[in-house]
Amino acid sequence: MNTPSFKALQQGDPHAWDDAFDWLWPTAFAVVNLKLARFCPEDVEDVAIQALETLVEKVATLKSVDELKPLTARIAHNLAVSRLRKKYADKHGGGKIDSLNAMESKEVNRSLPSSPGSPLDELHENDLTKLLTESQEDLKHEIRDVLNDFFISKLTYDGISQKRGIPIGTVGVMLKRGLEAIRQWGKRHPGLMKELEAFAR
Amino acid sequence: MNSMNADDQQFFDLAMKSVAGQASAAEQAELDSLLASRPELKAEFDRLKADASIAKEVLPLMEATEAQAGKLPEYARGRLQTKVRETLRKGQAPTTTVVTPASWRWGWAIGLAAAAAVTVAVFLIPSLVAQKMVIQVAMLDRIGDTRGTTSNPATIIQQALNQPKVETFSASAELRRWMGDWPTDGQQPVMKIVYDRDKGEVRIVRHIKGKPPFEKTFPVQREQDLAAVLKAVQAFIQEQTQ
Repeated sequence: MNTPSFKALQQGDPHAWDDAFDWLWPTAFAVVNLKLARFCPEDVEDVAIQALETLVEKVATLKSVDELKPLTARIAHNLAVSRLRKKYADKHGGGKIDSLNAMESKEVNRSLPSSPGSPLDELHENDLTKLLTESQEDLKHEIRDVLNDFFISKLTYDGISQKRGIPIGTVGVMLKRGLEAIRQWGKRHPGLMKELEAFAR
Repeated sequence: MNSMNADDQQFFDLAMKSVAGQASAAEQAELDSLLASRPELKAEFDRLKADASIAKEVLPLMEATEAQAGKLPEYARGRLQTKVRETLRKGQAPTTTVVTPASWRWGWAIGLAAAAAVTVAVFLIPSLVAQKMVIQVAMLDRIGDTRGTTSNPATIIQQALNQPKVETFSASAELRRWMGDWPTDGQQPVMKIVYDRDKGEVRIVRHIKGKPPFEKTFPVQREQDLAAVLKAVQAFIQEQTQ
């Protein structure tokens, strides 16, 4: 799919936006799905559409079309977290007996940014946009794969070694390189570093 | 991490396993022992925990940002285009302004259509015959009969605008070509009327040689309102050309 014309988007050209919505939908949906699929899958589509609506409001503040996908991801993430929080609050605040059980509550809390908030939560959207753009440039795919295996799929060193066909020692080295790259993002973005330090306290 | 020596790969591995809850009792004890004997590692351990938190937040976003699969639900397109119109084209395309014959609002135009299109047909509204204005009508509809509605909007257009023939487009590219196809020869004014079924609107675009195009939009909140909206469209055209 071709990248839409940024100028046409800012001018509100309906054709350009049609193309942009097709282009950005997978991003919006995938991010929202990450947060909501387990707890309120019926809301995923609605929140993803809402993310694209919000993007329309913000497009005038962007400088290039390259920022669209990262910003879409950021907006979708925030809206999904908000929806999850509201859903959780409604169930607990509504006095319903069939509210989330203990196990569900634990999972929702784990899915939500932990108090005082995810280090990404307070980042300005421009910072996150840059962060996502840089992360795609800085992290080689093989290192990102290992990071995903460890932090997202929660595989052990041994499990990653078997899955990827690499020595266990290499798993550690790749993880270390990946986290070093992530630390460099923090150094390049004082806002991120500040939130990170607050989070680490 | 740069300050760490080669031995610290072992510390890193122990720290990661601890952070991920994967450390065995022996590994956790080894890490605790290291932290006790080298207090400077405590700060590094805290930093690694923060780095890991960032990684957990950013990695899924990175993956999702690159997602390619999935198709925007067609029902959402109208809602999103309404948002575009309200947000970015505010003031450019009034939908309810009543204009006088002399004040056709020449403006931005040709943005036109969007999703799918129905037809194009050339016809003459009786009151416009005398002025020899060519009227072309199109209806856009990417979803078609899957909407579950019983009425056929093409038929409604035929009846409301006294349109003898209606063709249907099913791709926006076809509509765009049609919208870009204006007579080059002539002196006759040409008006294109598009019913965009997905966006819920009827759009009029008029071209007169030597003048910028004019566009006006009539919202169609519900399809059952289409006939009434088309009557308003026809009345508007006649009013402007009398």
